[in-house]
Amino acid sequence: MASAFQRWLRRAWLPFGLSLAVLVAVLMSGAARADVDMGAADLNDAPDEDRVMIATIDASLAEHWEREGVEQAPLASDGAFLRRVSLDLIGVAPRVAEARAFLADPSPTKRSELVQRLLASPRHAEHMATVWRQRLLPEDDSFGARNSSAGVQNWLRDRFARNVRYDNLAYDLLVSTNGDQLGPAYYFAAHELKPEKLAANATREFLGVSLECAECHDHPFTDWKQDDFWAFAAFFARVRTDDGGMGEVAMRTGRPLRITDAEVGELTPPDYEAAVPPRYLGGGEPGDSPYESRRMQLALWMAERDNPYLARAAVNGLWRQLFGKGLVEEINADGAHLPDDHAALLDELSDWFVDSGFDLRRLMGVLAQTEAYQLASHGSEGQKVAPGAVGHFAAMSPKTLTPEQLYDSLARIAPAPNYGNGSMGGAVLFDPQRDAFVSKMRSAAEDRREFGGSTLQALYLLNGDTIARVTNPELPGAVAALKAPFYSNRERVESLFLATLSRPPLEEERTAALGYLEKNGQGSDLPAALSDLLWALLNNAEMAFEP
Amino acid sequence: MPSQARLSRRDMMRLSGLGLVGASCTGWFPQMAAAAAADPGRRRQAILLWMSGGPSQMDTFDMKPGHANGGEFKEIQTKAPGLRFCEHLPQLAEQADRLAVIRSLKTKEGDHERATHLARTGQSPGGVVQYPSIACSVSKELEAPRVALPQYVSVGPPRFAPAAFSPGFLGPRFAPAVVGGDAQPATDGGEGFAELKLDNLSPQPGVDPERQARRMELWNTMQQGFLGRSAGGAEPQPVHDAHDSLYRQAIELMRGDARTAFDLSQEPAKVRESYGKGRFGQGCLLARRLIERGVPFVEVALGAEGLGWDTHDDIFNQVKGLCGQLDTGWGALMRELGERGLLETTTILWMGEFGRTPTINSMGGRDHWPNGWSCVMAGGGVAGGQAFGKTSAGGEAIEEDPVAIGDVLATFCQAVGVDPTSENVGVGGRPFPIAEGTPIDRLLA
Repeated sequence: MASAFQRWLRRAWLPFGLSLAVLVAVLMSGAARADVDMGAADLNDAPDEDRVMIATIDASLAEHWEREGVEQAPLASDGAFLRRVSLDLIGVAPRVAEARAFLADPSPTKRSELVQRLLASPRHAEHMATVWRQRLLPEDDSFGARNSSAGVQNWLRDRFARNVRYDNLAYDLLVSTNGDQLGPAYYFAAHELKPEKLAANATREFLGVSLECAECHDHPFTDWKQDDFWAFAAFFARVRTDDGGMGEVAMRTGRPLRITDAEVGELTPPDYEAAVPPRYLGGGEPGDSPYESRRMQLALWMAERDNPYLARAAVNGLWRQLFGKGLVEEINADGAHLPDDHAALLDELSDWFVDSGFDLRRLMGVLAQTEAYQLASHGSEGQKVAPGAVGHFAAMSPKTLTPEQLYDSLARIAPAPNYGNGSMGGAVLFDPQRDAFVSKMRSAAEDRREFGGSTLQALYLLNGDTIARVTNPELPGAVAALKAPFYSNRERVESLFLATLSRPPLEEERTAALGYLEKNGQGSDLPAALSDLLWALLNNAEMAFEP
Repeated sequence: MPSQARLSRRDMMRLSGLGLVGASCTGWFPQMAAAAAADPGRRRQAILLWMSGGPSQMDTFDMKPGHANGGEFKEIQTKAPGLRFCEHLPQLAEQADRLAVIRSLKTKEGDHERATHLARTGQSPGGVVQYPSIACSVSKELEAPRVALPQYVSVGPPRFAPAAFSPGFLGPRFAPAVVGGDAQPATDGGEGFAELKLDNLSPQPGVDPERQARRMELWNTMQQGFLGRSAGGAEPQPVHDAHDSLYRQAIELMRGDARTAFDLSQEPAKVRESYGKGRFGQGCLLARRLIERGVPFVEVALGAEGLGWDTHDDIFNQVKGLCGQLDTGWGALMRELGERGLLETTTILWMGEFGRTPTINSMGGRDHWPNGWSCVMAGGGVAGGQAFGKTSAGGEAIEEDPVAIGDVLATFCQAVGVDPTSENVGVGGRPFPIAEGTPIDRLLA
């Protein structure tokens, strides 16, 4: 436990995201920025510690495989690793030139270097913002909601770009008051200021605990009771918009949304006789303070260094983002996480994460450099993967591409007309074509290890406008470029494979593709034949998954 | 081509005839329909007639003749004693013995988008749970896996409140196949009939059948190669297999016989005209063709282009026109389903997002009104020829049997033979019943 002095220090300064050292620097420079970049990468770069943690993870998993008698898959090929890590870290598949360069690079450390390069890219921040925006806000395709959620996206992108400490990010979101295009307070409006909705989302996304069931009845398979849920929800009982109405409405009339805290207000759940006082998850109640609103007290509790949930949930969530499933499913305060196979590893990683200064970017770098993350999955280039290996992280689970990943990757094969011309500071949001594609292609499978598509989505990819545009030889893009007479068919086939699957064709694929161009691509028929080949690759199952 | 290819070369050749070699369905089809209708184990089907914008209950199914709020229209007798409709619904009046009107529906949303969400999902919008629309839930329950057509076809839905038309946590597999959505403005499909096409059913523009067949063959080669590597000598990974089977189904839909179902030009002009030439009328005809072919759920919208029923001004002119389309299309649909013996197994729900104010405003229109409005059920499982619930002489209050939206949805489920308490699993493994309400026994046959 932190000493009382440390706790005071943190409470006193945490709202400003400052440590003492930085505070001094800021005071001396006279810059009173509320968020100073606390990225450990700048302050105490310690690759040795990273290497130790990487080795610890791999050793822990190897031990587990030994125990379970699981056979470890071989390493993924360079092409498969490149595509996977690009999609995971920056949300888009690599360009042809990047793929060529990476495949040709003889350096033994090229995978680690690639990870560092991707983490430093502006697209990394955009991708993380997209992932988190979707975790925080309910899916809503209406124009008003899309407009408002841009504020959340922009705010998150800015935080990830500066690698702001994760504990500060969580804190700042929960105490936020501005919901315009720079502020994240639309989080509260999106959940209609309803304590039960805010509680369900905050516990799930920040604490890794699913309390939704406890809204109506005691949790069927954990110890959470209905009381726990409502007592947590009571922290949000005093959240209001400054106009007293619904945030959504305020946004529509062009007024910036402001979220405030009422001085009074209690929560009486349905079917309860009396109001439920606020209680932290696992016990402890906030005092009544004239200076700290209830949600501020909740945010302070969450951002405590020794909060049993926040760091673990962040680590588990990031692990799920990269590996398709979390190290554990249910986090418990006493460390008895379920299932318990990797509970100890989760705790070790979480301690490391806290010591790193809640450095999410560095944690992602560590995970992406483990051997486990580099293992082959079924399919892409025919490595043998033992049955059952996937469930134990002894092979990679193929993850379904999100519609955003797919659209953005297509935009690298053929530039989309509106791409990046959004009204919001060049963000990829608000490209109407991208929005339409995303809402058509959205999967309900929350678990990316499942394929939640529909026949209509398959029809849309086979015959719809987006793929038609990307494969059109008359429009700028890969096919138009490859029509040029100085390429050989061999080079053309190779380029199309690199553009779509980030790998060179296998021998039988090369033979089939060359045969096709030979037979159907003579003279003026070449553009159409190239377009056919690209179309076939884009509709291939391999394209729909991360390798 | 690898030997384990799932599509033989002959199949590929058949693919090349896409759209050109549609199997003709004259001759054998009526027999099949009749046989199907006579089968006691025949699956149940449902049609939702969605009235976008909020139809006026007092100018359609809950008339107030002689009262100041009553408006310009006269009421007429129907085939069911004591049940009276608006004079502009003569065909429906003829079939009133198959219709049951609910006149006492009370809801709590007065905004189009929010009310649409509430009426279609049973829940107000926003929040953690992405509730599915009742159409998606019911079509999932009625799924007919052997029918090589979409399980839920939606004709001309409005362009707003997308969540109210979505499968929510059920997933995109249960999303509607949209025909004539806002991506396709109502166009003339020849001879003055509205054109209805299923999106993306034909190859990309500029790709002729021969080239499409070549493409498919190339695709198949690559796909098989990948699946073979995924399997590593055993079965392909389930996710890869799922991708493949969806694609096979999609390709199946592109074939002639599925496309034939959507080809309204195969109907005699006289039949097409009897439904009305507009999108709603032709949509009702399409609904009949799809129901004949075993599609579990069809939805047809009226007023979706700009909330047609949202008659804040000049209501009587507007509603007269809307009633004309409604009466012609719905009337023909019931008649023809009845002739084919399919009305017994097909339940119809007519509903909008709310009703309209009893008082007539200064612009000669009526405004939004969730405090006592009407919806109608018809066909299979419905005890027709009656009205349930009652509003006061001026329509301002409910006098008998107030009904909540959950009750309507539960009654609809029950009528179509789906248990409204059946649960689907949402996010976090939490179970949700299809409809939270009590079925109204008096309306169930």
